[in-house]
Amino acid sequence: MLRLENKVCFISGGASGLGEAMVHRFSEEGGQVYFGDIDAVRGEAVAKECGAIFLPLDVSDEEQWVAAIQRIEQDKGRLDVLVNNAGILGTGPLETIDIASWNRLFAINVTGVMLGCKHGGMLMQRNPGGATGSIINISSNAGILATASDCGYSATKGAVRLMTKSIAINFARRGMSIRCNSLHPGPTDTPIFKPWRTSEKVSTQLDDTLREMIPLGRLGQPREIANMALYLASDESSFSTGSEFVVDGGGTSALAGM
Amino acid sequence: MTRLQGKVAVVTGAARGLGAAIATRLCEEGAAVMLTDILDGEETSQRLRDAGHQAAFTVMDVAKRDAWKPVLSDTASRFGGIDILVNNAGVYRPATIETIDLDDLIDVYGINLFGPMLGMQAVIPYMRERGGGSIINIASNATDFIFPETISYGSSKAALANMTKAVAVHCGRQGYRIRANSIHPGPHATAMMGTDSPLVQRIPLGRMGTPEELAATVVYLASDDAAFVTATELFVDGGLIAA
Ligand SMILES: NC(=O)c1ccc[n+]([C@@H]2O[C@H](COP(=O)([O-])OP(=O)(O)OC[C@H]3O[C@@H](n4cnc5c(N)ncnc54)[C@H](O)[C@@H]3O)[C@@H](O)[C@H]2O)c1
Ligand SMILES: NC(=O)c1ccc[n+]([C@@H]2O[C@H](COP(=O)([O-])OP(=O)(O)OC[C@H]3O[C@@H](n4cnc5c(N)ncnc54)[C@H](O)[C@@H]3O)[C@@H](O)[C@H]2O)c1
Repeated sequence: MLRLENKVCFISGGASGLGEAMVHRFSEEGGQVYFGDIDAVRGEAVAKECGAIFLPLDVSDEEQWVAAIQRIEQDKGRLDVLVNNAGILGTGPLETIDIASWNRLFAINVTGVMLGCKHGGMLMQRNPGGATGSIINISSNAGILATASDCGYSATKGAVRLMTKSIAINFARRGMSIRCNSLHPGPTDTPIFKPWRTSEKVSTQLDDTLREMIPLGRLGQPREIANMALYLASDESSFSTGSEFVVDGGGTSALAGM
Repeated sequence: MTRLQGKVAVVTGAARGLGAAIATRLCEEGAAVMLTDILDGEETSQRLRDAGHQAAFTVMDVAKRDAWKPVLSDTASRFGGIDILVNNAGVYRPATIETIDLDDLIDVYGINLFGPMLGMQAVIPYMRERGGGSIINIASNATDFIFPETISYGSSKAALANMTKAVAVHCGRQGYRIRANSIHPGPHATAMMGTDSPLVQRIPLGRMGTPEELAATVVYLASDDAAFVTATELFVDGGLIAA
């Protein structure tokens, strides 16, 4: 028996990095996987590789969420797993923050997660046989420890951490078995760092700094984050809700470099 | 199911309750398991062997300084090494600051905290020999909320979670590929907790956990799926401490 057999899954931001790894991993474990992204070219390519279904989606746009969830309901009549993974890095140092990019950051990293929980959660409530499901919101180790150079990113990821608990407890207290947990990756090797890798030298420096944060002495691999998402998506985690799941090589527990 | 094929595990407090469920699930995933307890666990061990699994039982008091070495060495020679240690044995003795007796506190710390320390210290050389390993300490969600009566239990589990992280960071920085994490169960139906904990009505999911659910989380941490997971706390508590 595969670990996600017969489960209908949706992953946002599935065209790259962690989301892409989840699309693959969930498909391997028998999940019927749908995923959304703004990058349709990469999205279609990933879909082709593993037989998952790509749906165009900008997570900050409520109408597009309605359309994506409607499509899944038409096809499958249910949703079992939702991963709110799409996210972007922040706006940099406080003094330089531009309000339009600040608002865009919150629209994707916070409002996008809320909209996923809202529309995905409503379909989960309509599941045949009663409300069931598992929602996984991708926060970050930056939602636990401060990222001094990027208060916007930390703020959005902190918001996801507590929004997750509120949604989890609300569903649970209403007697619905829809679980909701946050996943906190540490530095992981994905294209998210591309904007920061402006030269080879800067890139090496970045890797050194990231590695210094991590007692295991290396960056995470996308598949390792996807493995935790898989655990949370499966019934193996059936008594966990409103909790935080950290995959960071020990980074949030140790002082950097010591 | 073979997520732990070829791995060898030691589980303490495995005669009953969560420990027995953990040992069973590890076996079902292909691991060879040494069950240990102060109670007789031969029946559980025999049941696992009858089902075709690799299992053995040995009596061991986790708090006894000299108990660990012979048990680990016997495990390694029997099964070829050690990859996984689950420090599950634990006791709950209710007392408040006004009623607690120092000897009782030392007893609880001996089992819940010093025992796991002795186990981790003794197992590291075996795990290094295998090129890595996973240490899983069963703490409690009582690390994060306070009852007047949890003075010894809660503080022992909070210290265990903290100690786990120190071990994880040490092993990480040394390059041992040994991971260490704590699991924080909420109320699960066992002899320790009973089946009608007054906490149940406060659990958002509206029920106690089952030992099998807890065991599934141990499998995840024990497996290579969790290769980047170390020095963290996993809560399996039906949402109890989130609100
Ligand atoms: N990589 C890390 O080190 C790391 C660490 C902690 C947290 N995270 C979080 O993990 C998540 C995934 O990050 P990643 O590293 O895989 O990044 P990535 O840039 O590789 O992938 C993110 C994907 O999200 C998509 N996306 C961006 N905006 C979108 C929108 N408005 N609507 C739909 N899709 C959109 C992108 O097109 C891309 O495919 C993010 O939430 C990120 O904050 C990453
Ligand atoms: N059941 C719960 O609700 C719950 C909640 C949070 C944490 N826990 C923790 O989970 C672990 C297992 O608890 P359980 O509920 O299965 O309890 P249990 O009492 O059913 O089982 C504990 C086992 O540990 C053994 N043990 C006690 N002292 C020992 C010693 N000195 N050396 C070796 N073995 C010893 C006991 O004989 C028993 O078999 C404990 O660490 C407990 O603190 C349990």
